[in-house]
Amino acid sequence: MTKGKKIKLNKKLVLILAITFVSVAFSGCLGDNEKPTLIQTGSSTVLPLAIAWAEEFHSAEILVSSGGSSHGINALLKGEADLADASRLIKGSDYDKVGCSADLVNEDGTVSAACGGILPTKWIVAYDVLAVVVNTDNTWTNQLNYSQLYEIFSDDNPADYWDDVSGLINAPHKKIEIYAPDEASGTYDFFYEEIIPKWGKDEQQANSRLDAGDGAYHPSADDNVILNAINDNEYAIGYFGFAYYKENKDAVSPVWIAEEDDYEEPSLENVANYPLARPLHIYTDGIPNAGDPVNYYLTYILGEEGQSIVPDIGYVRLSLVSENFVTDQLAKL
Amino acid sequence: MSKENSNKVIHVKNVDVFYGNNHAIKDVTMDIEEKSVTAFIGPSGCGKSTLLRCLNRMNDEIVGCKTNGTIIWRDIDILSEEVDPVPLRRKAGMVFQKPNPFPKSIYDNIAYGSRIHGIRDKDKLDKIVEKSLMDAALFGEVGDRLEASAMSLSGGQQQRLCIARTLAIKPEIILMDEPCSALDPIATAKIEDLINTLKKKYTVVIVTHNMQQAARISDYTGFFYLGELIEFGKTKQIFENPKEELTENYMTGRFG
Amino acid sequence: MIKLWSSKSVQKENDENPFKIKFNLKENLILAFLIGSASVAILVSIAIIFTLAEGSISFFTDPLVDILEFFTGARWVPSGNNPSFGMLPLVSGTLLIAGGALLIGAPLGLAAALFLSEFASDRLRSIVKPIIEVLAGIPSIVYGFFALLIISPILRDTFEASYFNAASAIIVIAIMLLPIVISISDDAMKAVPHHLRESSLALGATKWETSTKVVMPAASSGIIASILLGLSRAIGETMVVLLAAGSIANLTLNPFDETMTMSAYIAKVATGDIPPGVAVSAGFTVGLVLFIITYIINMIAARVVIRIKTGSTVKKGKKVRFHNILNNFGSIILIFIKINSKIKNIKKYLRKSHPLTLERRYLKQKIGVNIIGGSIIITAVFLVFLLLNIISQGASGLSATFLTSFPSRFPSKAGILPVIIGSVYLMLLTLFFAAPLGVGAAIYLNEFAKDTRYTRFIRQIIQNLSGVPSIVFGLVGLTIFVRLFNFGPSLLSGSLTLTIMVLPIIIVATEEALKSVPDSFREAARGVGSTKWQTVHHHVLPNATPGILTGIILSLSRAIGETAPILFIAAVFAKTVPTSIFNGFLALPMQIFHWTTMPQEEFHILAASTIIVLLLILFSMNTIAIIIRHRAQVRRDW
Repeated sequence: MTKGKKIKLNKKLVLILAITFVSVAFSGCLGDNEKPTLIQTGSSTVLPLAIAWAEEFHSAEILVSSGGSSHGINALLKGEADLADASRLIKGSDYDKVGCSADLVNEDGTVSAACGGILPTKWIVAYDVLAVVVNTDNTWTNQLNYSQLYEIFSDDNPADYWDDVSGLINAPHKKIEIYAPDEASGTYDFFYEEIIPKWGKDEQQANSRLDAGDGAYHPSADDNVILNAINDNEYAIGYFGFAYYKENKDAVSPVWIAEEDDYEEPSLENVANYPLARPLHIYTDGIPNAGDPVNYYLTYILGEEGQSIVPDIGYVRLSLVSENFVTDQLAKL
Repeated sequence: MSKENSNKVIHVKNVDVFYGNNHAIKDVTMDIEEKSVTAFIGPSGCGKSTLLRCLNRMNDEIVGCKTNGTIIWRDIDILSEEVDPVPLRRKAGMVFQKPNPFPKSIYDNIAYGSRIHGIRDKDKLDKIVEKSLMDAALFGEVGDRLEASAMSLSGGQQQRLCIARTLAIKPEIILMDEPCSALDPIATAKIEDLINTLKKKYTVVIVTHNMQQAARISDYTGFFYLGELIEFGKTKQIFENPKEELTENYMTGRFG
Repeated sequence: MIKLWSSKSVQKENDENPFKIKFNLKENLILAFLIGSASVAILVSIAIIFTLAEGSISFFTDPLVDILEFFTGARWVPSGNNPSFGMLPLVSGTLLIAGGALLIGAPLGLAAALFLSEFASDRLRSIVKPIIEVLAGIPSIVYGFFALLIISPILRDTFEASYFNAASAIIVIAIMLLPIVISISDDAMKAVPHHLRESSLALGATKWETSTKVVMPAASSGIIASILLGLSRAIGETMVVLLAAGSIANLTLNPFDETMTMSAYIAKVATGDIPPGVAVSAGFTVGLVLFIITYIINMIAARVVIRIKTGSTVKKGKKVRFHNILNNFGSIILIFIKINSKIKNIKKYLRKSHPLTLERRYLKQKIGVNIIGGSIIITAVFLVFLLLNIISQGASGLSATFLTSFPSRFPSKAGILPVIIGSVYLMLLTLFFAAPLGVGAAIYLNEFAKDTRYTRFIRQIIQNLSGVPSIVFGLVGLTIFVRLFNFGPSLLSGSLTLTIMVLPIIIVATEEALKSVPDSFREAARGVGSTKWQTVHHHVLPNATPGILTGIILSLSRAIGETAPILFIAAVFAKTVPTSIFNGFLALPMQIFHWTTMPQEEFHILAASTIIVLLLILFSMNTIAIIIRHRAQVRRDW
């Protein structure tokens, strides 16, 4: 019967396929890779930089993934990743999560002792400029200082309408609509650290507008979505990493920021003066020894070659912030 | 047993049925007398079920099936394209070989036909269900558990349920396609008794492969072979004095 | 006299008992494998609870958290120095979005399935069904942006909805449910034995009446299974919600408001930057609560199915039987149904002036067929619209270079070669694990296991698993496969994670397929002396192939398009292709997700191009399986 033959044929075919499959599946175990492989994971803010560096760096094969700063640090502490991308500093709770004492982590993002054999070591690799933007038809908001930002973005007697904000000329009586990152974002954390005193501590002076629950703050995890929303709404205001503004300069209008009254333009070149700039980090297990591929990689990143491509991605190279950042860190390697 | 002076008859005239290229029924002509039992017998595959299904246009449901000829009932050619099978099937109910109750309760099985024909009044339906079950000689066994699932009945009970279901729509003709072939002798006997009662009010056409059954219950018998109607006549005559040699061979068990 | 059924203890030593129970190694090994497969579902559930439990415990032990407030509070503000953890807004968001999607998607899907199964020509069905199944593979991020950029503006203009609104998510998630509901319901209805339709037609019913009053109820088990799977999908969806409905918890049932679901919150905190703390453990806790809620829903649904299958509309006497309400929530639902039918009866008394003539019945049929045919058209329109959208965006990015290059930070140089290869390996591996396990578990449950509490419990566990948000599978995959088993972020971990995610779909679809094989086949096989496995292998499985393939197609479609399960495992950049299952990998959905979040418009185009590639792969995968399935279904003659 042809049906019987068909079944027999199929069984043989399946067997052959299975054997081929299994041998291919496990061939990698033979370990014939010439280049070492590094695993880099973490912050989605650092991700574009990580990809660019991984692409240009030729002495090792680097597998890059995202998942968030917390995941990156966690992966490092568990020994799964060689490099943890982080837009924030390591905190005590990161240690706590893997069973080490939170006291071992210092305020400045360094640690005093290893955890599970891993010693997270902080490297500052670039800076991110935070741009505050409004709709292109918004003619009354060209500049804002920290106290005005406080009025708009905190829950302490917040301004509901544009004309409630002190110091704005010709502001219309229209509700302020905020489209900005959600509370799980490092950008959010950084922004509020700047405008709300003692942010993150028990004595923090106020809560964010998001926590106010008055419906003015519309959060989103996707910066493209935020960009579109602000572009779509005349009375919108928001903030995100400069890279998103740089690629879409016609879509929104930037706001000059001052801590008090020294208004600065948001741009990569102006980073030394612009108040809303934050460091981006990579954490490694200790300071890598000479000869370790991680060492070569970090040397590349902090050196001229790695730093020269940073502006293309939309971030700030270290030399624009401080020349010492480069030399001091390179000296350790 | 049939009413000899009845002249209400279903005229089957020159009916051919094709399944694609397969000529399943070849130029069959017969008259079926109302309020009697007519049996179609013959070896497997001879076309008796096919002809039965012509009587309620069930062959319409089979893709590629083509029927020629006429079947006149009450001055209407039921094979004509102007005849809508849906109301026809209310008049000509069918019981199938394998009992096939719906996976619903006993009550809902029987009430189904009435409901779709517009009867919604609960009391009316109750009466219809009860009467149909009584007419199918099933009420005594299931009358106290009408809400039980039909699937919980035995094979014989299910078949009688299917008969009750058919009776509920008040047909005039009952078509039975080997209704007892899946049943044990006792259940079969019960259904044969039932058929004897039914023929007083309904025209019954029954397909059976069991000659003895045909001899027991039918008034008229048609013997089919390879799609042709070999012989048709009063049952007594067919069995005791067949005219055709083929018929005689079948009767005496030389084949089939 | 030979005792033909002597037990081992009664048999004399010298007697040659030709019917002695022999130990059949093959049978027992197979049985062990089948039992093992079914038990995997339990292991997976334990793994999920384990992953979620740690976070939940640290949540409830945190001084900021009050248990009572958690379950009854109306304010969910997990951050700031005055945090509040009242779950109700998340629950209302889930109810609104998942419930709303089901309310639209289930009837629409059922109608389409009814049309496909009972009224469409074979040719039409063979064209439409594969296309609908392709819908199942469109990554949820596509739906998310479709909701935000196309549906939402319409709602804003017409209903003054807020920028982020639940309604856009509801509509889009309803569309996402369609393939599941349509495919499985269609299979279930197609499997209803033909003789049931015949007996209905023989009673003078129209085709419409036969389809709605006989076929659909007979297929109710499969239909309800498909609806539950659809509901589970809706509850577990995160991407669409976060993109289009909002990222903030809001106690509202107004579809035009901004709101968030429980699953979306879990995804938000699991992939964010905030350090571990009470807001993150809140996510794990919400996950655990969701797990329990879906379990309860499935339990109630299971009882409703039993009642529908064995119950009737006849009341014994004039009393409605009341069961122990604690044990039978299903009764409550049926009471509501009965009250409803009482109302219908009253309406009918009032309608005496409109008898149900043949014309009216045909009118009903005409209207009915048009409506359900229309639902196919609606589905098709959305699909075409979506596809055109994607193609217009992504066509320009497609080129030979694109398909053969590696990712790059330069859009002009970037390609998806390692991504395609990674996804293909991932699919093959997932198929390799999931198919035997899923089919095996279903075979065990349906063919070997007795209907005990234990098997019903396993079924509920399986049903429950289908409602777990995919991000939770991502977390489980990370905890168990990457870390506990130490497979690292590899193809093996990724495929195992996807396997446990799609397992419920395969099991449910396979069980429905097995149930549709008539018992007479099994009886016939056993009657000639086949062992149980032989019966299954030679008689049941070949006839259940169409439904089984449907389940496999649906699950692989789901696997190829989901980002969340592999979020912590897949990479987004590499310069080599994986050569072993222990290597890291890139995958299509991850790459799409990554490129859509890039600021450069060119990467958005590349993302759309990648979606086109994904759909093409999906379509080819489906076509192969469908050809096999169609052949199997045509051969079916019962």
